Amino acid sequence: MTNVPAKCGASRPDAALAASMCRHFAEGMETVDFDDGAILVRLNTPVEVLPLVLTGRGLSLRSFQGIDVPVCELGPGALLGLEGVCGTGRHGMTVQALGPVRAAMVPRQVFLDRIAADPEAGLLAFTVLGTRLRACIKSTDDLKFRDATTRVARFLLATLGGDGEPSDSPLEGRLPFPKKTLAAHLGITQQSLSRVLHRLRDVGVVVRGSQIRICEPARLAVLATGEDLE
Amino acid sequence: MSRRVSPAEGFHLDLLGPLISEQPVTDVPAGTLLFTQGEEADRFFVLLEGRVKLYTASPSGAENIMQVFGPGDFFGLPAMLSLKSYPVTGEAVAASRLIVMHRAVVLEWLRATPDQVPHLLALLGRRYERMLDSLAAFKVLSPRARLCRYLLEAAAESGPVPDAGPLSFALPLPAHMIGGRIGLAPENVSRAFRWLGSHGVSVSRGMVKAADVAVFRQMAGR
Repeated sequence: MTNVPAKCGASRPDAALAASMCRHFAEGMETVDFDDGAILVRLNTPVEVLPLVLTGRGLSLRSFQGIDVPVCELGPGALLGLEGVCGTGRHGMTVQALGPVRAAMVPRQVFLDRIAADPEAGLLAFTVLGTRLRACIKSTDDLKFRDATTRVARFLLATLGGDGEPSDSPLEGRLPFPKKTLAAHLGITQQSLSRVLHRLRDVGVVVRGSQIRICEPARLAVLATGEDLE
Repeated sequence: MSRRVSPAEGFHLDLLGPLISEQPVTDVPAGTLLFTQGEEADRFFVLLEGRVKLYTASPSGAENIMQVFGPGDFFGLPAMLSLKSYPVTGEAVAASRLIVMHRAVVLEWLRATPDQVPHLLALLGRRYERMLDSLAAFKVLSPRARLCRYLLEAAAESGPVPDAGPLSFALPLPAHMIGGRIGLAPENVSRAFRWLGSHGVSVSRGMVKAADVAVFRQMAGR
């Protein structure tokens, strides 16, 4: 464990938000490195410490009818336990590391003291929750308005290519989680996922195990635009 | 039309009471657009009477109804405090009476009374968890199972729901809005209701009558 400076390793568009979170909450806190697959927080356990993700990404899971359903990915700036720290006092989801994750561990009382002493810190916490609500809305939109092929195409591009414009150069990387989890994340069966990945060969998507290559990102991007199903 | 709200109106959001007590009340007819998706989020709303739906729309106009709020609810606050624009559209689906709070007033109040921040965070946290549940349900359940889940929730709005046995209750929303809520086209909602008919459930004039409510639980996996 080390002490963390007020600086985060965010690289996505929400980097400014992540930097603000670090400035307000991470300074002076202990950091912990989590291995790939490690559980950062577990659903329904008391919020005693709120891990603030500094680098890496996690997958949040919500238990529904006894199944751990992947609901969203969380990156730098995510303060785990924020949904329950002031209300239920319990974590509202399980978060599992997708690759190595470094987090600053913010004790519950430190969080509460800081938002009481500094209204801007409280407003920042609102911002983070608001951003998560918006992500939920986007995910629900995807499930209601886009077909399985479009959802898979969008996921692959976002995972391998980030949020920027698709390039002409091939993209290569690994699926961040097993296909079973990916299927659940996208709201489709494993069989459907296999069928879609097979179909995507036609636009240059090659999948071998967890290794994935997008030969022509621009072609896949056209598919990811999707046609409205309604 | 506008007037002042009085404490006697039974508004139960104690948390926001001091903030809203001096604010004007506005009446709007059904169909009024309160804000639209992408518009600058500079205000939030407290609903005293009526119903308001929050939704996104696909390019073809299909609606994804995220929430339907009733008296005592507030909405637009997360967008106003944390996002530059509304991520959804808000529309009154019945004649409604509400209070509109502007950003500057709320920020001033929060800065002056930081002890209220944890209470608001708790409310938003619970709302976030409900959205996570809806999202998880959408990923796991079939359309028919989602309809049964919705019907169980609708029944619970009007009173206690037994584990088994007959049950009747009023649908809180018309069929096309139920479709927008659970991700079914209106014609598929009608089809799903007909399918429920073969399981002892009748739906007529907004009333649902089930010979055995256990059907819903079984279909929804509860």
